[in-house]
Amino acid sequence: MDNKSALSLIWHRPTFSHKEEVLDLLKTAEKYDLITPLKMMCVNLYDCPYIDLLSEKRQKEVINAFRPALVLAYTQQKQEQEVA
Amino acid sequence: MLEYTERRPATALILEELSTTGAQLLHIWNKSNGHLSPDFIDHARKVLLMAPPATPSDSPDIIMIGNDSFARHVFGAEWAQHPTSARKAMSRTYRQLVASSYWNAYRSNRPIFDLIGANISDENYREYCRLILPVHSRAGISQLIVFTKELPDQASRTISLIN
Repeated sequence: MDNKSALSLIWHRPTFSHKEEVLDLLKTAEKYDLITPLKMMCVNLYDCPYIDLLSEKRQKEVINAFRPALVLAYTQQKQEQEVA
Repeated sequence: MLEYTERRPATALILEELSTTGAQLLHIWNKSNGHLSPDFIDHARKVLLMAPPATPSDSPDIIMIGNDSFARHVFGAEWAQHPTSARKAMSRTYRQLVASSYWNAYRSNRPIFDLIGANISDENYREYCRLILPVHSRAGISQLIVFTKELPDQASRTISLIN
């Protein structure tokens, strides 16, 4: 995992602007091929699968709701790499 | 009331008897060969997304709780607003009762369908069916898609007859 994507796994990251945070979330979700669960989260919360169409406030809520999924994915991948 | 979990074959025939959504989810899983298909997005509000279980004796962490899911209906909107703490908000006894199928679905990478009768909380006994679909992303990340539905009266007896 490159440094920039790894930052999305940290809860408080004041150095990112909101737009950068959304892009980072999308990039990390894509890296793990988790765009479908991200869209499911968006649909469940706001009836819209596309995070970029949501208001900034709603985007923040999706980011906070989806971050645990990314942390789990990161942990899973790390554990598998250690086993391998 | 008697608490139980009973495994049933996860087949279209049995699921169609109980739930169109359950049958559709199973169809998507079969068609996508267990991948996280975009076709699941349409059903987001009715399912739970869960992490792989860490142990056979406890239920897994919850990632997302569908707004129209049976779990949200039973445990409440307040509970559903905090998926990351939702698991620990359920009683240990209940989590243990329903845990093994999550583990079996994850380990076998096969859908699991069961009938459950459980005391969800004090004086709140429910009978419901549960479909657990183990899914994985192309990057190798595993999750569980879980659909539950309250059983109509006599439904478990009907399913027994089907078998």
